[in-house]
Amino acid sequence: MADVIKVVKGDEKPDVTLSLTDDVSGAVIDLSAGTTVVTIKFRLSGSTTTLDTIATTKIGGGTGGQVSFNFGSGILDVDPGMYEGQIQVAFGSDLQTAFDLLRFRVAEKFT
Amino acid sequence: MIRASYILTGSLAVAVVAAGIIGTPSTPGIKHTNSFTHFVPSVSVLAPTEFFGGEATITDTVIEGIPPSLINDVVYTVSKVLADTATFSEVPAFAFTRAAFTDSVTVTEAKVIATTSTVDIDLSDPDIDTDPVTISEASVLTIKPAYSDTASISEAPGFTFSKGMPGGSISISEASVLTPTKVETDSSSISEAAVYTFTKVDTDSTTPSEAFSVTYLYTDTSDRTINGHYFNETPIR
Repeated sequence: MADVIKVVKGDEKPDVTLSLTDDVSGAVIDLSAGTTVVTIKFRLSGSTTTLDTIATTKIGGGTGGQVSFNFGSGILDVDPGMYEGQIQVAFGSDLQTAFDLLRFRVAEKFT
Repeated sequence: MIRASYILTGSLAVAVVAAGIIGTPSTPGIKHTNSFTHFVPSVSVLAPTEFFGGEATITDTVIEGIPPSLINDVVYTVSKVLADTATFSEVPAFAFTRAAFTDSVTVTEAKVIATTSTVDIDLSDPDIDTDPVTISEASVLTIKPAYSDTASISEAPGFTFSKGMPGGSISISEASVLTPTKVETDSSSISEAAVYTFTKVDTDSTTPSEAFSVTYLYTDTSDRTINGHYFNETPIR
């Protein structure tokens, strides 16, 4: 996930679809359980403060390990710069976090 | 361990095609023309026009001896000096060309005519009189007629009452509007008396003491002891 997701300040789109797989076996992660919730912690690169927790929507009930999210609710109402997102999967009370980070570059919007 | 990958849906891709002039832009060049003619020196080799006609004597020193020996001290003696002289002359060929001047000069001239009349205006004498000078002046008159009529402006109010005046009468009365102002004569003064609070620090002390006064009544005057102890007391009799 070295690529940078390029977005513009104040936007709500695009939609980002995540595919979660087992790092060893390569099998998809079953997210279909009702107690399984995937969220993205969004923060400024180099900062320790989480700006938003982005909720995701399971695709196909989550059996294929896919979720999607976008940047609604003013998530991108931030200063231009580099941001990062950490994917956290809550299997009920058990929390597992993807090691790789999503990287975002927020550009200025022309007014 | 969870591996995550993502795809974007709905992201906008922009391709830019520049329309208009396509090609390598021309490189501007500056052409400079200078009319300066460089100085090109010329060198002439002058050949003597008169050949050397003198004598040259070459002497050498000979040391007497057997056999005689020579040393290398040849001396050349020229008895004829060249009469020709060489003169170098060169004129630098500078040629400066100035661009045409853009400024222009306009010269105007007014004619100054001075005439002298030789007409003798006084023929009674034989001399020639100079020109007479006549000074004339025109009066600048401003004529204002003295008007005797005067104009006066008067105006009469043009009231038109459409309704008869009421039968009552109007009387004007005026009541004085008095605004009495009371000058306060009382004055207030602020005074304050210092309130001192003294705190007495008691230095005296009391020491409780109590002395027991034991009075024993001796009924038996012959026995001055109590339980065998003697007291220096005067028995009460």
